[in-house]
Amino acid sequence: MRTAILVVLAAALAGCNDLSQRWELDHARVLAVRLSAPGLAPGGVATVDALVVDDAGAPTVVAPRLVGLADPADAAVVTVAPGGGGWTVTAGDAAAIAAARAAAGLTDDQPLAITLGTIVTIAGVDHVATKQVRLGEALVNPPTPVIHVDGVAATDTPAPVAFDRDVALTLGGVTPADELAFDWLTSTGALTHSETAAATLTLAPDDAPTGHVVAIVRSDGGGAAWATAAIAAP
Amino acid sequence: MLRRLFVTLPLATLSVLGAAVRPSAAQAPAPPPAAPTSATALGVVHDRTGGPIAGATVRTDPGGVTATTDAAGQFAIAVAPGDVLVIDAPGFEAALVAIEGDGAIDVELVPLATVGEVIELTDTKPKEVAGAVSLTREELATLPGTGGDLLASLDALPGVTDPSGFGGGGNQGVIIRGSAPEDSRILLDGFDIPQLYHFLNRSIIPTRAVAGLDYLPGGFDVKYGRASSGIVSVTSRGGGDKVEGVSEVSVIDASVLGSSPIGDDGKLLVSFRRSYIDAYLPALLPPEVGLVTAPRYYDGIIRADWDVSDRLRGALTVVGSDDLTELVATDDQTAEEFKFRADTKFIRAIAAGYWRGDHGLTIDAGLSTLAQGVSFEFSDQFLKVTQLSVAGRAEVSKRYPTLAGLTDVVVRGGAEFDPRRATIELSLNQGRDEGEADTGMDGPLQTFDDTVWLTDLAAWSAIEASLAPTLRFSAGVRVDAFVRNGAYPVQPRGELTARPDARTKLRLAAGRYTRPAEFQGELLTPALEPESATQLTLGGERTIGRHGNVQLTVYDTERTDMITRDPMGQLRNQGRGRSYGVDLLGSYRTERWFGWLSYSLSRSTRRDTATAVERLFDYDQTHDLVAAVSYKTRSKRWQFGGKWTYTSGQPTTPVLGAFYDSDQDLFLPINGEVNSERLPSHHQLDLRVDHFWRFEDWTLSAFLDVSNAYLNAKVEQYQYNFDYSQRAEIAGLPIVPSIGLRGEL
Repeated sequence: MRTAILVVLAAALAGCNDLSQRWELDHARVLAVRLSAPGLAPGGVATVDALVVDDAGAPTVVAPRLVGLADPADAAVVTVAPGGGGWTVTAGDAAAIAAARAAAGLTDDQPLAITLGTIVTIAGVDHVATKQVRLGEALVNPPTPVIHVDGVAATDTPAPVAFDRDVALTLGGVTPADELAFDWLTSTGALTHSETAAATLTLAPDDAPTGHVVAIVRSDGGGAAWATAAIAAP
Repeated sequence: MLRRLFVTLPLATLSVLGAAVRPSAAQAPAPPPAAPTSATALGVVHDRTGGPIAGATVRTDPGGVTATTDAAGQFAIAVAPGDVLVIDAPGFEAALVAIEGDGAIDVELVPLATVGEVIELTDTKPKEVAGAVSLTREELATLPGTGGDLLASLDALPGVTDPSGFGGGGNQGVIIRGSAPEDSRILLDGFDIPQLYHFLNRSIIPTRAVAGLDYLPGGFDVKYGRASSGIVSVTSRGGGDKVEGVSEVSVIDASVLGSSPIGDDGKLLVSFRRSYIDAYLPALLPPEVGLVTAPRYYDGIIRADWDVSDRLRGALTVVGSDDLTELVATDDQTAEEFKFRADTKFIRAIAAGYWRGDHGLTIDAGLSTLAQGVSFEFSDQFLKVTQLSVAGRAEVSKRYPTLAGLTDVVVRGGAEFDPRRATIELSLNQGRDEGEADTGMDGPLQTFDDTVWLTDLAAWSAIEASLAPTLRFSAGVRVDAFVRNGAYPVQPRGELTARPDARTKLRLAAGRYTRPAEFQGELLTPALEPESATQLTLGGERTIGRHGNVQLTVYDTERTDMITRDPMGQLRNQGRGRSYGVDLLGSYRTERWFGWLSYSLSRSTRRDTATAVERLFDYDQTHDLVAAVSYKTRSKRWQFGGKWTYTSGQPTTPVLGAFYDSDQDLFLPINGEVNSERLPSHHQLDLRVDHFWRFEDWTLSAFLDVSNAYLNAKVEQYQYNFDYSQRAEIAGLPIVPSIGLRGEL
């Protein structure tokens, strides 16, 4: 009961302390890890990359420094190796996957989820993240979204925003669906409805006039896609 | 007239006749024809400051012989074996003293209640143990920083910790000597009460409805069981011999209490209280906190006493409490995610009887029913518990001048039963176990919907006797039966008491104690064994001058069969632990000054499995210092008090970092060694001022009580951000002022 009281008070007091919110890009961390194909048919191959943010709030896509199997016993059904400046994940043959499925009590139409461990380096500091690859079925990532700021698609040029006004953030190229989850983040201003397909950004006068917004789309099948956009207030 | 029992006997031992019902002089059996006398008892009667009380009446019971104290307060009276002395003096509470040993009897009388600040002191000498503390209600009710709340004053006792935070939200009970609240019991008139505090550490039993409080931190008698740490025993107060009425209004609650005699043989006391902090607290909080409701509580107690005959006295007590804590955020999104509601209510009825026969034979018995309901909701998680219980207990005691070569022998035997039926419906995270990192409300979900029967039985026997004029022992054994668990622990206990001189008392106690596996989730695992503790306690107490007293206690408790969770999440008896430390208590008391110094130095460690690394208990507290002083002006119209406390921070497990689960979009903490860090230590100053206006028929008083006067808010817990890269302190209330008025007939 006391835990619940503390949780409620912590939630109620969330705006009263200086702890970072999930949507704030104010310190270095991993934002998402992506396989080029989140599900692999027998013999299928995928590459690994990650979306990270540095202490300045700038998002970049990097290849992990290291990728490995969380459980070494999974080497019977998947191999992980460096190559092409990054890491590749290769599914085993059908027989090995079927045997592993049976051992795990899965039916033939259920994917076998294998957990990968990754180490991503940001400004010289290692960050650990996990990612699952589903074996036995080829799956794809959601389509890459396009960020729209006040209804205008973002480009390489910073999108214009204004202080003390609600700025609409929406996505193009992705249709909201039950199997999709959305996550908005920003390095300046404050976000509301940050876990829906459409968020609202508000910049107070003391916020930085320039920054970045990030949108991440995740699917139930382990897929991930993202988009970033620079923003600037006059 | 209120009756009380308070005696300091340098060479004789004091007995209290019964715990649930205490006989008084007025309620003692009528004197039969004088019995043959066999000895002359000498003694002195004095007041609290040591001043002699002349003209006090001393009467033997049942002998009926009387004597009167002289100008020096001294008396001599012929006594027969089995007699007790009843001492009465105008303006003072009566005292009842058992005659044991050959030494002079020293009797201290306490003034009759004036503004209701003096209570019956329930002396606990028969079950007194090293480190035990009993204080008058006057001392406790005026202790600064407690809001005049008797039970909240427990925090000032050595070895007691209350890290519950947020004013006791959760009603966790009392933490004694580094062990968990569930290791100790809180008793009212000999029976458990489900909770001790309301919100803001307000006792559920008003000070004026309490006759006495016994704090037994360990080494207690075989009469008490189902606790591996300590006992807090509260005795409700019977009505007086005249009509009384007290009403109190403060910023937190309002209460009314009345008592009256009923006919020649009966007395009635009724008390009711209701808080109204919920009416204004939300308006006082910062807007960003955004709570639209707050806790509220009711409580009430009714006690009727009846002298059935000269030898038999009965009492019926009904106590009830209803606590509702409901927090609703004004922000729509937060309100939807974090709706919280907890409703805890109970009502207990206790029928008690005390019978005293000839030749030191007594029977003390009680029968009680309990109805309890707990309703808890947090978003989509919930817990609903209803519990019904019918419990009973009885103890028979017989005193022998000599027996089997021993002198002044008391033989006791007793039994109790406590069957309970609990209907439990829950869908709730399994909660944070001892030593586990706090998972908020995101821990593994457990569900249950069934009825659980618990049947606890016990029997005990003990013998006390004097080995020499200054040396006395007690030895006994208690056997509990925890039927649901199929456990029947045998618990031998013993104590040796020495009085090397009139001012010094030494005690050595050892024994085995058990707590049944009946706390929260333990109810869902019937195969658990009770937790056990072997306690060794050595204590000394010395009176210094006429006004001072110092008490030093050293203890060592070994704990086995501690209930911990295995890697599969199942509860098992696989832990071991140890608590050891020193408790120091000093007091200085005159008519106008009251000084208090309490210090505890302790360490509580445990291993959750045989191979686990030793770590601190969650409730380990290295230092706990309380220094308090109060002063009453010569006119007695003003009283000023202050209390300063210093406590070590509660152990906590640091988060070293986190890894990112990209599929769940969730950061999972990497915890450091369990309880390897502490929250910041805490110190605070509490102040209290009372002013009294005395009129012909009634008294009006006003008080201002300020807790945490210099706004040093206590850090209750660390809060981490979503990826555990930052943390902030969650602090308690920075200051809690209370102001109120009290009128008394």
